[in-house]
Amino acid sequence: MNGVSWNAEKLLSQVEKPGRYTGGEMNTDVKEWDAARLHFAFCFPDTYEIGMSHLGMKILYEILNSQPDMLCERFCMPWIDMADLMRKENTPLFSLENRRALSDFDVVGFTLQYEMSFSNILEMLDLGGVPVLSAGRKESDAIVVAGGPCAFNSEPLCDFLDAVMVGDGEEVIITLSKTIADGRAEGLSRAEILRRLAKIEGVYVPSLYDVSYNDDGTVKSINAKDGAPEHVKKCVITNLDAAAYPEKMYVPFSEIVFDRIMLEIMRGCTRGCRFCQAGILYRPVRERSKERLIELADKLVKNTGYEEISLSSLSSGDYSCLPELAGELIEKFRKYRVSISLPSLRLDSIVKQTLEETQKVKKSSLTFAPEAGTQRLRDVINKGVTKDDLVEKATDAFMGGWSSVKLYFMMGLPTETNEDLDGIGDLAASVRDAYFSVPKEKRAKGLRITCSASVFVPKPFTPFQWAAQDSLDTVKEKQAYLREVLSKQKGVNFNWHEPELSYLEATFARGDRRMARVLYEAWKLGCRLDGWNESFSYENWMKAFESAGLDPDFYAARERPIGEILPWSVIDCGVTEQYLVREWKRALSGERTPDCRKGCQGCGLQRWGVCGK
Amino acid sequence: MKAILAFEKGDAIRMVGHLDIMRAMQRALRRSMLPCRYSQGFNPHMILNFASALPVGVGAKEEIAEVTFDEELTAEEIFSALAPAMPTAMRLIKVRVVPDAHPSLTSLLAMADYEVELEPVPDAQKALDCLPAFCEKESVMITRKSKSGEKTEDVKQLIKSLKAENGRIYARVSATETSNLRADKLTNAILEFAGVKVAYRARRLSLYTSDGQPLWDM
Repeated sequence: MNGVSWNAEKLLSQVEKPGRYTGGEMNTDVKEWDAARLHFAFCFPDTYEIGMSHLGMKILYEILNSQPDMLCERFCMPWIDMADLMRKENTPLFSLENRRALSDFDVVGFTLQYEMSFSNILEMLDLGGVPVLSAGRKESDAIVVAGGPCAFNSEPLCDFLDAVMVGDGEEVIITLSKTIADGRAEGLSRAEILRRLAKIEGVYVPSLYDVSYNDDGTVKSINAKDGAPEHVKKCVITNLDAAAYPEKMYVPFSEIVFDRIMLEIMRGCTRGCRFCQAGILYRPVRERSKERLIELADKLVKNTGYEEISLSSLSSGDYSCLPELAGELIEKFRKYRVSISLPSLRLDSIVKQTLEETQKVKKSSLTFAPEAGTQRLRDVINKGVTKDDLVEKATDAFMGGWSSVKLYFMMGLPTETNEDLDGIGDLAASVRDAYFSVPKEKRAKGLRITCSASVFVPKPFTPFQWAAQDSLDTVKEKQAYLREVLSKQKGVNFNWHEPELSYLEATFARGDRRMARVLYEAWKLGCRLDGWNESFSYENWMKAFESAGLDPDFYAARERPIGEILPWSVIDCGVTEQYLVREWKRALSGERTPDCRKGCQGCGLQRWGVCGK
Repeated sequence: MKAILAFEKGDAIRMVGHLDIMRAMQRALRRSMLPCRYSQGFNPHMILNFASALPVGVGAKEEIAEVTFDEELTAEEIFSALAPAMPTAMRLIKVRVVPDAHPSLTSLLAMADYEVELEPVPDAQKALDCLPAFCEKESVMITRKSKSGEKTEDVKQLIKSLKAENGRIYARVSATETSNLRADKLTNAILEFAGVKVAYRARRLSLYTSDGQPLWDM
């Protein structure tokens, strides 16, 4: 660890959780700075505990550092105290490895996981000494790029990002980095490098598109220029077994949110829930083979020392040989005292046998996500779960010794009425009854049911991309109503989300380029760490909308007519607009669409020849 | 069987707290694949004990921990499996096999040596210059927070020796479970006495028994 300046040290002794900033974790690469021809700053725009938990960053960190001529170092958003001190003491945001300032890097890359981290991007750039606005960057300044799910609509970030990678990042991040390194070596201008980047499949360069607007604020036209493609196709890794996956993952000293081995068993989901953006963006479904997963698990257990492996994917219950995989993992690692957890279990796919095997090692709370309270509304959102399913699986779980259940719901879904909210209460009651239906001597003590209701946020590239979000007042009324409904259920806890945060999220999720101004104004007013109560200021965001002359309802609470040019239409996510329109119409008529594992539904990915289903 | 391990807590991770260092050591032992012994019961945990906790901000040249294994191993076997499994800033220095009846490290520990490096600013010299006066003072009271509220204690009672050398402060202080002087408390008392504010890096150098024998050799 070189260059530990006294200046930085002084800051560390004054902040809470200084270990967030000092690095030195097991399995991190401190490469020699001068030996690399490309220096990549991998930035996670939220706190260390969240950033270090993110699987994508672990994957890409290792891919970049495995290139002999490249170096990748990590940055996370400093907490309020550290950010303020850095500014006060003139200490730039520095990397966890060589403690180099952000401005020392050739490429600054952000992962865009959720909209409410956007203000942190501006804050991190500014703290790191990189001009916040693309237009203000000089030839020698870092090229600022991004990827991740929100990269599919990065329009609200168009003033700050030079280039955006869309889709699976494993390969394109290397192509992009090489192109930048070569361009720099050849002495090309920034503009020339960006034009070259625009030629890479999956790379979107916002400055190479002109957008014009109608009088009503909707997009009139989007025109590509300087040879940029009319549509940017997302990148797809076709074979997960062949794709790079870290065999050693960094192990932070302090506890992080997901402090365990994450084994990505598959990518994508075939269920077709109509609210789910990830379900569309990560298509097609690709599985890692059981053999490859066991090989990876073995290396990761030995290289990390972690006590737990979680199988991660959008819908782990759909993995084709889940019982075999779970069984083998449990068997193989029991002697090392490693437990296996299955996080995003779907109600209709929990394998009883797996449940029984998992609990031999460890028992935790079980999560079900019915998402909506009535069958009618579940049909609208195409969530193929029935009340009987839920009761059956919950009963199984209670028989198996579980006593803590979490139920996830969304409120404000299209066509929702109070009847649907009543249904949430009914479901909670059914789960409670299921618990008491198990003989006393067979069930574990201390039933705990937690109902969480988030506010529905319509997202681009989903069948609900045209839908209006409920207004803030409606959401508040519904929350009060639901609180009332659930207060009648004994032993049921109710968690809800800040409606203001979901409202803002909705403005950015489907925002256009003009939203960049709102973001900039909000950041100037001090907005940052918006996902945190300590920092979130709704008032400042509203002021920012005002100074940008924009109405947040235009983005959040407006239903779009089919045919309107959507701000993100340059991006081709593989799923066609026709498919999304059909699904939107079917939703409104309460028609279900089957899982495409049971037969192709024609979403459009077969055009690319990447979907075997 | 039991073994004691000596390892470094490097400057880079000086801001890492004791519980996190403990967990890092447990994970290193797990990576080493050595047959560590776990406690019995509902929530088994690795049988691992540290001689002494180090506060956030204090590094160490040579910390000592004791670990129990299910199988007979030589010190060389333990060292060669564990050394590569340690984080860079937590280098393993040496391993010694001890008899099962070896008294606990905490019960043996009585004193510790510290080194304090001051930021090279003019005020640092001021602090060094007033060390003799500080040593001559009868008592220096400080307050510390404990579970039962604030407590005052006399730093001077806890200092065995104190000197400046090569621009650094060297101190031997009491380090028993009941009377322990932390390096940061000591340094802050000195700086306050000198009336200056200087950044510093403290490192624990070694641990001793009550008769001044290195804990490692016991």
